Amino acid sequence: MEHEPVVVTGAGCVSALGHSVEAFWSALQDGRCGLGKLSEPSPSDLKVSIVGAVPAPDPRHMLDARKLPMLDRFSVLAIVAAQQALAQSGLSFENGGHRAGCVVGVGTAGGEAIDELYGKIYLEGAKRANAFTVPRVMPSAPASQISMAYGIRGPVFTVSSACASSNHAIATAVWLLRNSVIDAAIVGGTEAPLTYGILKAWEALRVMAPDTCRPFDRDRKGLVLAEGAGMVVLERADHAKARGAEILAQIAGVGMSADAADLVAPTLEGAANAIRTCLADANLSVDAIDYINAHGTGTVANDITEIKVIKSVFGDEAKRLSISSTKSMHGHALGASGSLELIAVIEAIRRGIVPPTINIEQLDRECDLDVTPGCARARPIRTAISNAFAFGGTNAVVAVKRFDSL
Amino acid sequence: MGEKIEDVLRGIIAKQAQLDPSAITPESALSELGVTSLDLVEIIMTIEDEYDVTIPVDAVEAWNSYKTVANLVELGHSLGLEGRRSGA
Repeated sequence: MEHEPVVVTGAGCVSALGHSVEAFWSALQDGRCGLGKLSEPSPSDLKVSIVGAVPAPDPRHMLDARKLPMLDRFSVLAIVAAQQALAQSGLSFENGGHRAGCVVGVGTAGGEAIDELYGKIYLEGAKRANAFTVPRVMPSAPASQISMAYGIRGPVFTVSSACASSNHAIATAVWLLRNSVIDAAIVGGTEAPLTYGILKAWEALRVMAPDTCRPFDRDRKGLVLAEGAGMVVLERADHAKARGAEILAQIAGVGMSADAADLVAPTLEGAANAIRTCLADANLSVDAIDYINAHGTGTVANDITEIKVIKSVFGDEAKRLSISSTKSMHGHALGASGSLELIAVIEAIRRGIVPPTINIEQLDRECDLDVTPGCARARPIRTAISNAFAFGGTNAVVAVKRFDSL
Repeated sequence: MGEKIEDVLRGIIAKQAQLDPSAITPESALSELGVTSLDLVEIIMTIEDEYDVTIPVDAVEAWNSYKTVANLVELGHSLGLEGRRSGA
């Protein structure tokens, strides 16, 4: 079915690599790692020692101090990223905002407020909770807060599918735009999992690396949890052109699938189906893809399966692809990962530079494709895909095309 | 003689809205002070804590009923709170 293309006109992010897209891209291009020692919450009995925390200054300081009591950290990060994306797009919603939407991917919600609440009622015996607890904790809080901040009055909601949340959010928004339900949307993901309770829960999964995130390395030891948010402004191309907006890239297609198998062990078929569905949706053959931003968590289960998946979908073309896991630099920001990686892909396409996979000392023999170890590489990129394969077997893949190749 | 309810309320509202108490007058509209519906719930719950009373209003009802600082002072009077809290 022919439909109006969906384009990107703004991007914003806050992550372990800094407080802007410029800082984020500069680190990716230089192969700089944003992962570091856990300092907050105080490590005490936590086994987690390395995380991807947003560096100082705290993004809270970028917002009106009087709004902060009603914002959990995942909302703070989302609003900071949305501000940047909206500013770059030059879009405003003064004509009522009824043709605008906001779709946000979230893995876990309101960790800070939950820790505070349980500490108060279980440990301190407090008689009551703070009135802001529910509005802070609700998974839809970041989307609501963005809608209230900018007067967005169309579809506003959260999408949640663990580590694929951002990509599912992007897919949902793309469908809303294609079907002309809306003309523009702020779309992305946010996650703030560096709280005591959430870190404790993740420890129990035994998937966290004690050293660093080294996707595709023979001696990789797992993932590194990170916080962050990425937001983009997506628009129908006719809407963006009519207002003379600069178009950064096109979202060429989206594909979704589920493994329907194991909670944490991925299947080859599920992930492969998501990529195939995405390519079909984008009307692209495998030879049109130049770069894959891999899910690349740095766990044995993911990395080996993902390489097999790429070989099975791309066949002989797999050897020609540039692949990288930028999680080696910004860490695994769960529900926000897909949005950060979308921004990495957009910048990679615009600049013709493939960001690297860092921290590889000895490439795993089973990961024998070009995973761009160590250093970024100059390469014109026509179209790229960004993979997200989540716990629970929920998969979503986004294809991004250079705009002048429309 | 305990503290006047008006003074206690001014302190509670100032803390919740992060304002200087001197910026708050009986005529001040809560919305103009930057107080939101849930700030008002926190303010009412703080009054409950301070005076050990129960004020049976929900968030929406409270937001529709109490528009100004004077409205809250009247609420305090109707509950017989005047002078019940001793000054620090």
